[in-house]
Amino acid sequence: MERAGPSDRGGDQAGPAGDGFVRGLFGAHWVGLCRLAGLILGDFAAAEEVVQEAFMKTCGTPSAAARLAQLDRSDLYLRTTVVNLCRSRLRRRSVEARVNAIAFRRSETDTTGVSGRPEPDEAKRVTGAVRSLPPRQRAAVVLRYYEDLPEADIARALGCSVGTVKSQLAKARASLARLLGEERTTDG
Amino acid sequence: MADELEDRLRRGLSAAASAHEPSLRADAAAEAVLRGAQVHARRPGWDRLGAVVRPGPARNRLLAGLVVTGAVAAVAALLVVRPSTNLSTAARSARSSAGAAHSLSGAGSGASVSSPAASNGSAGASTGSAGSAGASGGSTAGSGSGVSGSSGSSASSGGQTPPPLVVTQTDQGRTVSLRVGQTLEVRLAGGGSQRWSEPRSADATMLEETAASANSTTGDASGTFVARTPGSTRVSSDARPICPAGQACPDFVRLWTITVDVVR
Repeated sequence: MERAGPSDRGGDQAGPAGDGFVRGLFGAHWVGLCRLAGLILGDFAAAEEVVQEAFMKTCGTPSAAARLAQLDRSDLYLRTTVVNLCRSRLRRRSVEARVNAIAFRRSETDTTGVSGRPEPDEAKRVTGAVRSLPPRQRAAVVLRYYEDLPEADIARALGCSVGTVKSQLAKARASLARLLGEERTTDG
Repeated sequence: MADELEDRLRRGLSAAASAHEPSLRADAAAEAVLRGAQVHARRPGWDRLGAVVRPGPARNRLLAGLVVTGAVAAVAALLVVRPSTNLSTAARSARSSAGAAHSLSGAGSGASVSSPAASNGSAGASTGSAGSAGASGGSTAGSGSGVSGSSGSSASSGGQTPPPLVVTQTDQGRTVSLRVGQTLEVRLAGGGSQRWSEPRSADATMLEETAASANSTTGDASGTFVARTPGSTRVSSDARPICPAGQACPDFVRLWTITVDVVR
């Protein structure tokens, strides 16, 4: 990616597509998007990379920033980009896990650790169960139960139909109920 | 039952998310994106360096290779897929380059921030003192001001435009001083392993760029700037590795910035 120097970027005076617009987007959405990506990926360090990548894709150049500034809801576009990048990273990670399992004879479920403060036990159980879902189901669950998005918005973010979202959520709920129910039985 | 599960999911996900704050502040992340670079989050065993390591594309390339050539999958995986091996190697290389810059800035400040006359060995008394003043003046702002102060005195004694100031990649993070009308030459050597972008001035009115070039084969880049008005600005560039096609490669970005103070 070519670097755009401040001189050809235009600065804050260039209007909403200038640096001020990008900084405003970061200020408003950086933490929220990092958390969203962290829940989908199960890795909050990788989440920051994904969110930065999303910002670079959507407003890394003056022309891209100008396009983003023209959208009514640039936050939705950003979120969709983050979700898609998370899903592609999850797909890649699952391939890596399979290759690692062959190369190093280790378990495929050995995923990247979660950084940050220790999560409460209940949160750890829930995120652990969510992490076991396939990428699309995982993204749908996080968008539905963390972001509280309606199914139509989830469908837009995932690039599928509302019916697909419903079926993905139903499958995810069934898997989660089984996983969390089994844990509760084991704990009890 | 379904409601109970949904409540549990909402509470669990919300608690997990609120337990994590991004390691990078929003303004720092914004600055990185505006510069076209990507700064990586702090991970266990990683250092936040001036250089940035991005493992993703390298893994992509490796995985694509694995699909095509299944027979060499295990060997290739040893090189890149195992995160600890790959990332620590990349981080080590980045750390060594950052460390090299540090050590040079401490030991050879007079040599690296010097006039071409001094580096050619044909220095007069005044440029010789510039080198020694820089060397004894410390590694940051002191060395820069030492250099410019000496060159300024040589200019005032000779009544000529001060000689061009030359900076290299070892001057990363330094502050240098220029007099109005003085030329700054930036020479960044890629050494065939990394490709520098053309150095840019953050304020073209204060520090006007008169020439800039980047050689995509050798990775070298250079730029010439003329100080026009007093003030402070920055000159920056970044280096990325030159990766042969089809080979695993650490995809890091090395940032290079100096601060330039222009005085009358």
